[in-house]
Amino acid sequence: MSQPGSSLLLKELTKGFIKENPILVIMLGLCATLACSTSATDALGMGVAFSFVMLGSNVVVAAIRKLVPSQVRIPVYIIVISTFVTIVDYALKAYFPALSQSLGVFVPLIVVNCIVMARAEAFSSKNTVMASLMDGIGMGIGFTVIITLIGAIREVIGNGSLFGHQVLPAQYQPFMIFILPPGAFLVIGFLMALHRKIMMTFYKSQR
Amino acid sequence: MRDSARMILVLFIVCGLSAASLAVMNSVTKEPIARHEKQQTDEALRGVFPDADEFVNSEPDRVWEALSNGQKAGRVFRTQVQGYSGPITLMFGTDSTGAITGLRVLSHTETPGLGAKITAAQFTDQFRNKRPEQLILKKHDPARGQIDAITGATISSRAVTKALSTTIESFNSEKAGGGK
Repeated sequence: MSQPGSSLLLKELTKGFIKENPILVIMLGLCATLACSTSATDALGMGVAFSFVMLGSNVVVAAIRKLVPSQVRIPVYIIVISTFVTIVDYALKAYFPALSQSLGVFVPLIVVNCIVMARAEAFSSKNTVMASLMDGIGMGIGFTVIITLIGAIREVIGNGSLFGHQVLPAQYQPFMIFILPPGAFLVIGFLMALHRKIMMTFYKSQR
Repeated sequence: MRDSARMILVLFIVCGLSAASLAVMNSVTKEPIARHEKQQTDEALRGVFPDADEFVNSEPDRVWEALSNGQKAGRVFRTQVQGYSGPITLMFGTDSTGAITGLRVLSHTETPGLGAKITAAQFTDQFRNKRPEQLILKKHDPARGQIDAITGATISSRAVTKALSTTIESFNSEKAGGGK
């Protein structure tokens, strides 16, 4: 198999941002997105933890793809993913205890985040290490940017603050619903609509 | 047959490598994690019993004897109750007369913006200097109750308030029963 050209690699990287954004287009693993986006700080933390796992598992799965018999590939992916998740969990507990406490059970739950599994199965098990690395970085950035955006919107509207700093005047009465679960659905829905609009405009101009 | 041998081998190797890397990670992070946990406990202990300068853990992670200049000054309890949407872990101190010296919510999963306000000083500060029999929500017993519930979070407020009195009660009856 010939090494894919650099333009192709770049495409693997950038597709995660807009065209195949894990939250807005693939729409997998929304559980973590909903639960960890009550504030911009938590969302960013979740995004970074997720990106690390995504990157690690993508690269390892691609590296061992020819050695793993297809009958046991799923257990192997799960072991690889859960190893990276546990590493992240320990690291957060040791060096960012406050963040680890507020993300709570959702860090260990990255193990069952369907995006990680889906990328391992649909992409890295069929592609080179380099392409999988690019895919992992792209998915990670796409996820982190969107979840942080959701977190920021929910925090500003629902709590009047951003990254823990008060940004709206004290008279502002926060819409509590935005930091409750329904708020996450509302924000994601509006972002998806906006994303569709951007996609349609973008593709029309290309044609 | 060859296939299954290969499967077993691959799974075995993958598991082995995973276990090895986790062992390394564990040995690296064990010390900082333990340090943070101890630091958190120390900070919480001082927070609920500012007058004491030493704490002796008399029942592992449940009861501490608070000492001030080597003299017994009271106790600190740690307890867990069922809140509105999950367990609430709290720590509180009682002085030698039985009055509450301070309260701190260590962890909870209450609704953000409503029940989550149990961690706010506005709520926890009102427990200070209260006697155990006054630890009732005002809205439930206006004559004896001394605790204002959080608006929209009665269940969370009641869970915390009740946790204090039941913990003290069960500890005292345990002691009276010759348990300790």
